[in-house]
Amino acid sequence: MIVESHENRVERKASVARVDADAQGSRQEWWCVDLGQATPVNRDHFDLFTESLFRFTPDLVQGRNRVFLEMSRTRNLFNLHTLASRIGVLAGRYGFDSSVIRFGVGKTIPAAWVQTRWRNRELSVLPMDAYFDFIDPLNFFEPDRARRERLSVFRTLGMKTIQSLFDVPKEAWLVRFGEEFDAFLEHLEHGEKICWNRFVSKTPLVEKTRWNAEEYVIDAEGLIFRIKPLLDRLCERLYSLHVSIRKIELTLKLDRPVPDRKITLGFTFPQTSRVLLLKLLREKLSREMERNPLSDPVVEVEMAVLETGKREVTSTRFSFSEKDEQAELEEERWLELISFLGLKLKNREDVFQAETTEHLLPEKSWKRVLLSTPDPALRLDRVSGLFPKRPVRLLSEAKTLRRMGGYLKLEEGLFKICAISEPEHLSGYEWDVDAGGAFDRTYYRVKVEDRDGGCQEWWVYKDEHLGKLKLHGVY
Amino acid sequence: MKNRVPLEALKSLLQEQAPVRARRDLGVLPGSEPPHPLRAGQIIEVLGEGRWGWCMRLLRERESSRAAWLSLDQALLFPMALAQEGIALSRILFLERVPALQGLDVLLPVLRSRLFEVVMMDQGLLPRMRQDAQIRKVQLTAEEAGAAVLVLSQFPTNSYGVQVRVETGPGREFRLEKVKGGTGE
Amino acid sequence: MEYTELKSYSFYSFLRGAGSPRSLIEEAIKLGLSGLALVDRGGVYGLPKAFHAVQELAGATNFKLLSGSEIPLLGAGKLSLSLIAPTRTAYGAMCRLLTLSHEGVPKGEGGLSMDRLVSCLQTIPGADQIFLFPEWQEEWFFSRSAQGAVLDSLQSLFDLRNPKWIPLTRFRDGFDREREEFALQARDRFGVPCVATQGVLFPSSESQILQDTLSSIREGAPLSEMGLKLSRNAGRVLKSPREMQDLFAEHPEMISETMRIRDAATFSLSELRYRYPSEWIPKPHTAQSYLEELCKKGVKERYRGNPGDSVLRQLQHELRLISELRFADYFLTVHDIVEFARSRKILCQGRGSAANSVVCYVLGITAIDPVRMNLLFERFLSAERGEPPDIDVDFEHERREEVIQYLYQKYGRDRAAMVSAVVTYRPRSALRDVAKAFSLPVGTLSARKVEKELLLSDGVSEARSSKILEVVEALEGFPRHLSIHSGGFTLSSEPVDTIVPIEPATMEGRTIIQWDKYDLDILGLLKIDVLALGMLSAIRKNLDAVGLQLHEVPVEDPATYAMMCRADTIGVFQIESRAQMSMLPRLRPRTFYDLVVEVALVRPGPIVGNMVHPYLKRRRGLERVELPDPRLVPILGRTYGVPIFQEQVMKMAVTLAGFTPGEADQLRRAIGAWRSKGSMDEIGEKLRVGLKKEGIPDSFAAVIFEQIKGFSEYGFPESHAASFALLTYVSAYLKCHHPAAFLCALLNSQPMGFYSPHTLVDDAKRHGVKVLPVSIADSDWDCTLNFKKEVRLGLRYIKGLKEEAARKMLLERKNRSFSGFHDFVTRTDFDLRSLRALAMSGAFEVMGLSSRDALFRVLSLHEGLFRTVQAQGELFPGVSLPGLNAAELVVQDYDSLGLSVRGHPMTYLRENLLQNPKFRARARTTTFEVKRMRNGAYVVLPGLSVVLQRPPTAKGTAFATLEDEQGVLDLILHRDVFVRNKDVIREEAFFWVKGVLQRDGDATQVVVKAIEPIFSDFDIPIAPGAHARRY
Repeated sequence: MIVESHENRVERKASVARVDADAQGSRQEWWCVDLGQATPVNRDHFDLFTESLFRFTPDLVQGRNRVFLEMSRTRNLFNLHTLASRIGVLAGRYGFDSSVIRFGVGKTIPAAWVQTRWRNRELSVLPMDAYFDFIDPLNFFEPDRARRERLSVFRTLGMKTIQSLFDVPKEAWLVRFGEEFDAFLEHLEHGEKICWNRFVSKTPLVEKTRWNAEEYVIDAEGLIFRIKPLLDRLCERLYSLHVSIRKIELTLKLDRPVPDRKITLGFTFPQTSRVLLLKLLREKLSREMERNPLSDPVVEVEMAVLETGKREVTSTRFSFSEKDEQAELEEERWLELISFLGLKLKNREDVFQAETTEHLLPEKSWKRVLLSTPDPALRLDRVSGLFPKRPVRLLSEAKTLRRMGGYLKLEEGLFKICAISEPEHLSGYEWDVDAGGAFDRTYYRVKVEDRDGGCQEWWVYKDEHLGKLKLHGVY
Repeated sequence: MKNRVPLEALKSLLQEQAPVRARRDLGVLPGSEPPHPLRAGQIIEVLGEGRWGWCMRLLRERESSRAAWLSLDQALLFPMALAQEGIALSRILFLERVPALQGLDVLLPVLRSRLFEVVMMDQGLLPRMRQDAQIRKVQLTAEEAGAAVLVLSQFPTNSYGVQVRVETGPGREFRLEKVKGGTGE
Repeated sequence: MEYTELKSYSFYSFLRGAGSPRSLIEEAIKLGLSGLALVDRGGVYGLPKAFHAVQELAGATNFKLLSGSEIPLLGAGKLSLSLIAPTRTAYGAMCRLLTLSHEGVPKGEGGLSMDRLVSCLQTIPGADQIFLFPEWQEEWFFSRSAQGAVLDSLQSLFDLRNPKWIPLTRFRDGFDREREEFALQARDRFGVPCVATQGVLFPSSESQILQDTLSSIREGAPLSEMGLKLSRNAGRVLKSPREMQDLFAEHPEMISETMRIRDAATFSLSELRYRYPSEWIPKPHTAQSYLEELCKKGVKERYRGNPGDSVLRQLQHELRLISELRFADYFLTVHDIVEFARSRKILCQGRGSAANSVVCYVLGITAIDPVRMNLLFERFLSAERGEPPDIDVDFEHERREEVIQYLYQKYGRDRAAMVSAVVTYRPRSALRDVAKAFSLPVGTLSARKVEKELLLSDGVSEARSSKILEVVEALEGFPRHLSIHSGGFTLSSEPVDTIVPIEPATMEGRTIIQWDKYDLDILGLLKIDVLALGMLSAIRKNLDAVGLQLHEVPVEDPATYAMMCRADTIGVFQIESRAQMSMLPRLRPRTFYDLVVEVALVRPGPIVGNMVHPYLKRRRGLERVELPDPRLVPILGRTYGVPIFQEQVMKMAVTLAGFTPGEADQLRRAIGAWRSKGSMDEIGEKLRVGLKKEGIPDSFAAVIFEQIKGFSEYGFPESHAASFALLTYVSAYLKCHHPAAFLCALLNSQPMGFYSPHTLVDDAKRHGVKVLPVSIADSDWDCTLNFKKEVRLGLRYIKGLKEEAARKMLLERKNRSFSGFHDFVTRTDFDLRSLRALAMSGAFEVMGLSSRDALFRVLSLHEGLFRTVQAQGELFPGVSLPGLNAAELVVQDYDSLGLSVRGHPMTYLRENLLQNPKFRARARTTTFEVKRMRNGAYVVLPGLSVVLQRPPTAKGTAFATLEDEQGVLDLILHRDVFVRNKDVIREEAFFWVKGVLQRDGDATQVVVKAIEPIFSDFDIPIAPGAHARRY
């Protein structure tokens, strides 16, 4: 391991710096935008916010809760004030508090950050805390005990400002603090040479196509033929990004200066297969056209993917055995059926499978679930065994009953009581205030006989709070 | 020159799935003396007070297959009771608040998906007896999908195939008697 | 129809039961039950409190408390066995069983495996009389095969000879029929009768939500995810005999069975008695005779031959009472502990009511002569009261562990155990747990934050937050777990665990009994308090340094009293607090009794009972002392007619109202209850009648009555004040005559006392003590005193230095002192961080290296290789850093040591302020000058805030102490001034004080009008909280 002595390392850097500056001839100018949040902010929002900063400059470096814009080329388009106000609006849109955002300008990224934080760059004025700001401008490292100890050591040695560091020869510090001080020196003096990794943006998933009005595309079928190639291209790119589609938006631009028609299409499960997407699109478009047909021919359509989802592993399974083939087909049809029914019925929640829960109240003892594969490994239900026998039918609205001697009075008429089981007393959930609070019911199974001898078995409960008898289910 | 169709779009559209072997025989109606076979494509109307209990028993006997339940308003079958009968809840697909007019639009795709052997629905969802052609269409789709359709109704409408009345006897076992041979015989 | 509940759990089944033993008993009596069995899980924690409740509430009814507990069976699924002890021997066996179930098992998971339980039940004597009730959880009912397995596993239990029953409960949750079938099946198979129980978890159905919250806390899951782990209905609640009769209509014999069990169980907690270990008493003697012999020997020693007949009379009276109440072995045990401490040269001293007894004085337990101080023996022990004596003994806080290990080793772990203390829910801790149960995102928020931010945030609906607060209020006082009482020890001749089970405490090496000190009082069992007192170790170190013995300290030394009158008492025991220092110049103590009054006077009681001002006025002769009755003179004479001590009240009752001494003590206890109840009970009536009978004029009787009513609980026992006053006098004497040794002893026994080390050092320097900085050539681990009476700071004050590495260095230094920096580095094995701490503390100055140079050198050493390669020379010689000026040196000292021996920071801050023209005028005034000013003068001065105190009794006013290089000054901040400047006081260390001087004789205080922080670059790294003690 060749130990490059410090001198020639400094020498090498200086030479490189000279060559670079002349070649480029341009002076870098970094603008720092710091969100002013101590804790890390929401990752996606921050990425989208950074992406939105592309409109100012192609060169972005993203740190933690702060972004650096290299504005040397687009310097003349904006001044700091307009840039600040626009960024404030953008931040507001992505949910960040724009009043706390801080800005700063500097020749290099560390200088920009120090300017943002300490409002000046005079070495003789900067306190020792700026030492770590130079080392870690992108704020990737949490301030920890080692940092606090280092600062107290500096205070003991009487170092008050960054400038006082240079009263002692650099080599003495290098020997003591090794690469930490080396990084500090490099960031301080040769900031622009360091290649900070630029922010790579995700290409927007939007496809557009135009045609001239004479083709007179006015109905769903015509549109479908035009949309098909767009869908293919989108699916290609999605496949490479290993994502699937959850929501698509079609914007139809008409011949006349009329506001565009926007059709959004959301799927219960993220879809990837091209065939199914086309079928669903055709279904949606035909229904849309039936409801309010197009007044003018469409000249341009733009399809944008609004929401993407994780790609389901199953769809990439290589099916070798016949059974796998069958299972995959069934699953494909299941997804298709569920998505289709979701569109057909008024709202998507009406298509569901049931799962039992441990809630005492009968009406809350099951919940709606929608599984992405038709029959997952059979889940043994352990809850139902913990309750006494439940009725086959549960009335959505419990009907009030009135007891008259040996009879029970319901709207339909009088029913003779044949037998009453032992009680099942359910009470509690006083803590569940938001969902109705405490309940106190005593359930009985009552065998009744109607006028023409037909005998039924009811599930009746007495609400202890109100003292009323209610019919809740039929066996 | 209207509606010129780009060639490769046409090819992929016409590609159809391979046909699947249809199931013919679906076992026996529970509690029927003599045992009445349940065949694919049959539309059975179930009447009488014990029809829900009978349906649950049918589901319990057909352990391995899937079933769909279409209802006009809230699902009447109580999942906890189904679970207590030992029926795997993940096998049953519930469709609630199906608009009466769209009964057919929902039933046909469910049948066509070939996922379900038994489809149970409220009477209100099937069209009145006058549109025989639509009933015929349901029977054909069901037969092709290898599924049977059970219509639970309060009052007999004698417009579909087999009619069955289920009465609950004192000891809670089901007495099932055929009311009328339907067109689907 | 009568019914006894055989299975009820109090909240001492930690996090399961939701009712206190008292509330269970109250409810049971209200419902008309004829008995209740408390079967807490894993122990008998709640029995004494239930027993006490029964004594108070049962009154006429023949309500009986059955003592029992429940032992979970390990490895047998959800089986547990509840026991009821019918006789005293059965109770002893049950306690033994419970002790075994806790042995070697982490806290809270006690239990026995089935075969271990069966073998114990057969081997432990008396265990075969215990009533057994096997209990199984619900899941068994759902599968026939599981039921068979349960019955088989219980087979071995049913083969035992113990009387057994099968409990049957009805919860009306739809499974009662299955439960009944199973119980009857078990009954037919084992031929054992069934009995009706309800498995009570809460006294009334309203506390169901409380029980749900507790189970959620126990399971660690929020309520919304608990599902069926919560109780399905309020079935487990106490039911009246009528309800039980309806529930068990088809099996009335099960209800009558409970009554049969109730009558068969005859044991009551009152039968518990135990004797103190006395096998070590020399053979020919009995405990009493040996005690008398020791007393005779002791009298000769204490009184040097001529005790005087009053002492002998009092001694005989006490010995007669002790033999009558048979407490001789208790006194001998305490005497034995004190003798052990003496033999090991551990300073110790009895305190509290024990100081009233001549026997204790003579045996050397206490250091106050009760006869000379004419104290009242009945305050300590009286026939009527019948309660056992409670002797508290203070030991040096660093050597108390030796005494405890001695007790364990001498009496054995089974006969000596520490008393437990129940840690209950406070509003703060309750709020965090309940919020978590209501699935609020509590995370690591402190309780205050939870209350402020979470409850009021919009995520939580109004109804839910009010429900949370409702539960928190109900949860207060619920026990969370057992911890160790500060020093309570209980010893017994036979194994303690035949009286109460013993379980391991969280602190390793300690075992505790399941009852706390209140339970011991209820049952009349004996307890010794082995307590720790920091001042004792300081005094002992001081005396060793000076070569004096405690009793050799000259008595009534005028110089010491003069120092106290000047209120120059920083560091002195008990009288160093701000309130005491302002009282000393007014009271001007001259004799030991004045000191006793001083210690007792500055307490919330006397201030509330407004006895302070009359006493002071009368002492200064400003107010005439008139005592209407000549008999009061011997009692109140010494305190100028103002009753201060509880003993004085009791003597007044004895002489004026004709009370017997025992009744007088009952009066003292009852008065406390009066104020809380506000009503006069029969002992109060007796006092009024007595006073009238003795012919005391009504007006004076009313005054006496009010004074007695006003303060009894607050009044300080004279004996307690006297034993503290002794320590106060000794520490004052040492501070006056041996300030250097005094400072050295105080610094070595930190943390203790009222002030922080840096105030003690500054105060000592003002008394001419020279304090030398830390140095690696001379400092030991502790602070040391050299021949020239200078205090050398010890290495213990260097922050971040490890003790064992330092000790190794000291050994290394013994055989050869260190020649230079590298010699030091190579021969010691300090790690880099310790070396850096040493360098920054300036320990290398003795080698000519300033802390800056030393640190610079240390930084150049690289981890690992610094011992070999680097040692030979500095890589870049010739680098010299600018030296530290005086101010920076002080800042450096505070940074690494927390105090500075070079000077008070105010000297340097003052120089800094004087250069600034704006502050020059007011920067000059010091605390010394302020104390000279006239009353009412307007004052402005800078200073360092040392102490901030807001006692609740002062209705919002705060008291602070301002310190500068010349001394300390008391500040008074009225409520509005304090609230206005609250954050300045909390954040800043140095500030300007503006106010009016208040002088009362020598005592001076400044009533603060405004406070401003001092902004200067001269920032001392003292966090405001660090140097000032907050009370």
